[in-house]
Amino acid sequence: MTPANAMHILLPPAVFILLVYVLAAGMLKDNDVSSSALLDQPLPAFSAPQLDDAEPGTPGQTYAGRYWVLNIWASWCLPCLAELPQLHALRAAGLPVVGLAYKDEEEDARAWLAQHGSPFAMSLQDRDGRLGIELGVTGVPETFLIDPDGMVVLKHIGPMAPADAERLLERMRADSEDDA
Amino acid sequence: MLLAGVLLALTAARGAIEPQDFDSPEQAQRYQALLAEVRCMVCPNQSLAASSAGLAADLREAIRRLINEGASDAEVRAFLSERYGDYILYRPPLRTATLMLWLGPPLLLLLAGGAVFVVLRRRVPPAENNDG
Repeated sequence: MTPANAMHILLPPAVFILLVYVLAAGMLKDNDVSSSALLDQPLPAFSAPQLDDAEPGTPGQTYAGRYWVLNIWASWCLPCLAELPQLHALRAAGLPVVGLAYKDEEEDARAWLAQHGSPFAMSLQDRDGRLGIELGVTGVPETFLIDPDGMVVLKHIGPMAPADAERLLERMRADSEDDA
Repeated sequence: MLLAGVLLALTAARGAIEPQDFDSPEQAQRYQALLAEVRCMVCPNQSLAASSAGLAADLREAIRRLINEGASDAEVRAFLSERYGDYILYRPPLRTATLMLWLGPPLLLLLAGGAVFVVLRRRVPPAENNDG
């Protein structure tokens, strides 16, 4: 078999295998693009009704100039209960955690917080989910880390495990060291 | 007849769930066209028009509101991709990140066509060597 013949026989299957590999890699890849839209973008300014205050809350103004966390949750969301200890840990680390009760009844949200202990420095609500659309929310829970300039530096979709909360804190420390 | 009845029932049911009050039939048509080209983010491979997920209903409502407020199709698409990324659009805009998505298939076709052309040309032996 001459080298040219070998080339003729081997090239088509080689191209085919390469193509299958590329397409399979694309299909099996964890599709994380939905989380990227607001990443490294400013968090849209918003105000929302508070659960424990008659005045609407504007976390973007309240926490301007420092790191803070926005957590989208709901009393009907079981994974939100699972990540609650992580939210408490973030708060204990000195981060203001702002809760946004997504598509939740006011009474249910209050009762849930009273029962399980609120990790939130500010507690907002989005009853009809309109604010959620503005923030590109696809479900609960979702967690944003916002930097002192109001930029979204990290977004976590789904319940945070302890390692995820640790990753968030590390990201904040690394970021603030870069700025210093 | 039966089919017409089923269709009528479906339309009625849909209308009951989500009132689609538009000022003009043209707006309603644009609304339907847009729904077909927007991905439901929580149910892969379904369009907004086809999905019954809660988030899809919210997004339909947002699109309806934008159209009623006079937004153009391009503005509606921009609203969605700013919040959810290009992934939400079944026809993402041409950018650096989506370049391969758009150019890949014609490029592959060109390569494959070129290969077929070369192979076919080689198969036909030149006349002077055609003595065996």
